[in-house]
Amino acid sequence: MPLLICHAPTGGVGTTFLAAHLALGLAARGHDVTAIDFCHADALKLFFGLPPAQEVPAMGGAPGAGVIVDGVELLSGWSVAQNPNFLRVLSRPGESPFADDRIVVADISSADLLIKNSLLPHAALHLCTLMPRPASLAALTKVQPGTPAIELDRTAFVLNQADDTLKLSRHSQIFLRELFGDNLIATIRRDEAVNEALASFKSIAKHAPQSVVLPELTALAIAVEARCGLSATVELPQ
Amino acid sequence: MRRDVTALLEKLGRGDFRYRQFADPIADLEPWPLFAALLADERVVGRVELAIEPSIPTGNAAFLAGYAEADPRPARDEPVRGSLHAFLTELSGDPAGDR
Ligand SMILES: Nc1ncnc2c1ncn2[C@@H]1O[C@H](COP(=O)(O)OP(=O)(O)OP(=O)(O)O)[C@@H](O)[C@H]1O
Ligand SMILES: [Mg+2]
Repeated sequence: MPLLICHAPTGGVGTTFLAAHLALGLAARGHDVTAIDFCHADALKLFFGLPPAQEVPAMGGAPGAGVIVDGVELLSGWSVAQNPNFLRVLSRPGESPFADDRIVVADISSADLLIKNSLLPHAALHLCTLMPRPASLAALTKVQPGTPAIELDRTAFVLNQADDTLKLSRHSQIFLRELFGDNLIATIRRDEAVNEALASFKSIAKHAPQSVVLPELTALAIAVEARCGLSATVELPQ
Repeated sequence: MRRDVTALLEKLGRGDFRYRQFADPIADLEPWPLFAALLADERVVGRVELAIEPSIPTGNAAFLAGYAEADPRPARDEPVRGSLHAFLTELSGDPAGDR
């Protein structure tokens, strides 16, 4: 089962938010999913409605040892990734430290290029978050050194925090759609309910069931499923 | 305000919504130098010559083609790509006036 890595060249764009919801969305569609937080900030769990004090077990323990939320097994990969042995294993082609019967969604900090570049060769898909903001768009020059952004065939782009009331956001959406075509696999709007849900330790679905981002996040999971050739194992509306 | 919107707000019994209609983005476009700079950047689009096919653009394609037309790079001193000189030459150019 594939490794899906979530990484963007700039921070603060919503990579962790999308990693969590990709994992939740795939689990809701019947897949066995593990989400691994490779970030020092330990923020992935918040998007599962967990509080900062919640311990998240390190990867590498017994199968199923992680915290389970809405069908997703949550693990921490930060300390393991600091171990040179882990990176050494990753550097061997074809050898993966991940269970092969589950989809693994990895959340990686923008600055952590070592972890990103170590995991990338094992990934079926790299999800690159963009925001309709100049610094995020300018970093399209840095998605994968050596390969132009429009030619990256294992990278899919998601525009997050789009806001149709803002001109630059509308134009960015058109620009990215033209630039990447189908490789811009989803657009997620900006909704303060995302932050309010986090602050309430609740899922968005519980806190704000009408949030515009919910159907958009489902569409993201479906798009990733299609892109990676995963078939849904439960039939769900939408 | 459009009539259907007025009707909807009445139905919802809400007079306190702010309503604004946003123009069709394509009709509302203006060239952003950042977009032009990205479309001229090999790290984004690869070899620049291939980035935008000259055709009769419509809709969104016209939007991008507008950038291509807006900033023809002077052909006479096309810098050698990949060299430090080329890099510095590009840096010194105004991205908006670049390809
Ligand atoms: N669509 C959205 N609407 C509103 N707020 C959002 C949205 N997406 C993300 N956010 C908020 O933006 C902030 C940054 O999101 P997130 O932590 O996922 O970004 P990141 O790219 O992982 O950042 P970091 O570089 O710190 O890892 C968070 O407060 C999150 O709740
Ligand atoms: Mg993050």
